[in-house]
Amino acid sequence: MMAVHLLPMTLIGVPIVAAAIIFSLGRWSRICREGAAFGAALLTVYLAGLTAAQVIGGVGAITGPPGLRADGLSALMVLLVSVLSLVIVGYSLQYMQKELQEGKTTTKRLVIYYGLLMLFLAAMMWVCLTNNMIWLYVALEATTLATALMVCFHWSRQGMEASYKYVLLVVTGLCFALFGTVLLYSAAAQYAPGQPALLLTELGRIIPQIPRSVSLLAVAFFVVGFGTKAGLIPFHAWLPDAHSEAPAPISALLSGLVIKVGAYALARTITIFAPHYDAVIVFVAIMASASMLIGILLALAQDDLKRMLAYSTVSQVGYIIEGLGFGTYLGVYGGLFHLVNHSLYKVLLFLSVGAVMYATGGMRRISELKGLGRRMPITAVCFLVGAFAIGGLPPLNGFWSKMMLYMAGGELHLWWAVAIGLLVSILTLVCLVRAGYRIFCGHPTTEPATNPGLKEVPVSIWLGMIVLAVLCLVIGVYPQLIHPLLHRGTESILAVYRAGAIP
Amino acid sequence: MHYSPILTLTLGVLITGVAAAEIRNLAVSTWMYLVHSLLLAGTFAAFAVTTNSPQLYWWVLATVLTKVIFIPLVLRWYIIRHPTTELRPTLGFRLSLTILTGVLIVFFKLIHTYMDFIAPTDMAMLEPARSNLAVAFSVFVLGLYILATRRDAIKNAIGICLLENGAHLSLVVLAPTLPETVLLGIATSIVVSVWVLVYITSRVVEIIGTPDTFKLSELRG
Repeated sequence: MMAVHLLPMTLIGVPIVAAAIIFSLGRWSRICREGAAFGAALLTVYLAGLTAAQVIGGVGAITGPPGLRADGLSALMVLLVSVLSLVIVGYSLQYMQKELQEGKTTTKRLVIYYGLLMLFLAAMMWVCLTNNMIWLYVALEATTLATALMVCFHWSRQGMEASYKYVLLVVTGLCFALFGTVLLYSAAAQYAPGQPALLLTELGRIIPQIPRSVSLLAVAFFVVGFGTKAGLIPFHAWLPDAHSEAPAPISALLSGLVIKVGAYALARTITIFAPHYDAVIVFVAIMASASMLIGILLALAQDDLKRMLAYSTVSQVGYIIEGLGFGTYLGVYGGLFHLVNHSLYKVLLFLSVGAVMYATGGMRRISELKGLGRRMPITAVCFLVGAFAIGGLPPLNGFWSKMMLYMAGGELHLWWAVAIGLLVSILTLVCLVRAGYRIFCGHPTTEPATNPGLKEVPVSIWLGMIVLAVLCLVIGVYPQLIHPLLHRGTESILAVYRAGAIP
Repeated sequence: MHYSPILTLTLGVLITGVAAAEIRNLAVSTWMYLVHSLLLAGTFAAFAVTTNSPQLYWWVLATVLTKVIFIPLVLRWYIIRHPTTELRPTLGFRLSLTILTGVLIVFFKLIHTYMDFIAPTDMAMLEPARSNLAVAFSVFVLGLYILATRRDAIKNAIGICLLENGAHLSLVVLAPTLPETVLLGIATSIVVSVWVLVYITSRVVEIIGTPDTFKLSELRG
């Protein structure tokens, strides 16, 4: 049995080793390219599971070299990231192979694809396992750079435009976060000299001593910085372009995981201020509500499926940020629960759209697709499960997290926020189910549905989708399944500003 | 503390930053950025000497390697392959320089006056650190100004570089005891982000045919 304190390091190290294998040998062998990626993703799931088991059932928080720490929230995130990464890598095997066969890409480009995917996985693990504010910034930057070159994978005009905007805006935003980190560090260093002032676990203890002006300025910088990464309105301009122009598996990665990194960073930083400054709670609730409403209204106006899902992501991120900003147990729990749920059903939705594009030769406009359900029943079911889940309908997972967020808002008497959340939920249901109905239901009368060549995607593509759909249902019927992880994650955040040990 | 050399260097950082922003010839602008970064390294060295902080010499080394050598080389790689004159910006040279100078003066004065609101630490409240920090914020604003007013994609990349230099300059006052490994991490991330941005910019020009960011508007709505 591996020494427990080495687990955090191996979670980062395994994908890096895989990336090295892929970049050096991947050009000559599928085993060294796709095999290495899949194997590394599988091993990372195993290690993440071990980490979660140790944190929840065993030793509690794990600290290990070099300066890494896995608490309840980290365990939740690494498990979520690793599982979804495995699904996306598995999906990519056939999806990208078809692109290779059709001449849309080359072996050399596939090496870059899988290599960057592994570097991205390593960077995500690093984000979730570092306890140091500055390294958090560096790791976030690393996730941005790893995905930027994947957004423009096809070197199309739209892809280049999306990638350029993505890098420019997110790097600018993260610079704000760096400034906020430095301001906070300089104020905190007076009370915890040296390295401790950089540690997220120490900050909660020190915050009451830091001057109010510095705290609020730092909060503002963090919201701009990490909010840009998370796609919060009004820093979202890069998101619809990047998420819609990337290859389908990468779109799933971006919406399902990359923006969660921004939400995670906000969870680690903003929440420590919330209990001391009521203004932070209201400020975050306003920004989150704006994100929810504007995001879904823009989604309703889209004909492009991927762009619709991207704007829906902008909207759903508002729920996560709002819950985290509430700062109460119910709020933070609901925010984390929604983070998990959204990751599951948004990846499911993007992969379903990818399946439609795979089967129809790249079509993704709602107005051009009709009656596909008869030829693609599995994809249809998966998309509709995702649509109902994101709309918050029982017995699917989205219902529970939204319910918790409404209750958390009511607990703080922020009834306007609850009302907006409910309205957006209804609009989300309308938007997604309407799209699903138009694309999959009804009698096929036009191409591509009437094309005899149209058929369901291969099992290697729909298998991951089915797994995610089942998870959405299982968590909806039995939410206690992930309660231990969510509870420990919530306690990890709340304990930062309580006296006492971090669980 | 002998603060005249530090103030001189800091002022030089700001002036060369403005030059890098406003000069239309991209090759000269890159040279200005190089000098700007050299003066930034000099500022770190001056702080290292006057505050007797030997760890700041590592900062000098990191700055020279990344901002004086590597980033100008990356920018030069782009310039020798593409047009060397910046696309005509939205504001004319004189108007832009006037507005920029006004903005920077106001911002410098604002930060300098209300330093106790932003960074109420012993070091930041006294000269030359106080002026240095005000300049750091001003360079940050300079970077934002470029991003807001320039249409040439590579000028935007220079804007990002200046933005990050402003954040770096603030580190020497706000976080002088940062471990060298952390600073190396920050420097590396910035270098890689600039390299990726310039690479993507180069491909944008090849595929779209122009570095005009105003033409990057196909994805709208």
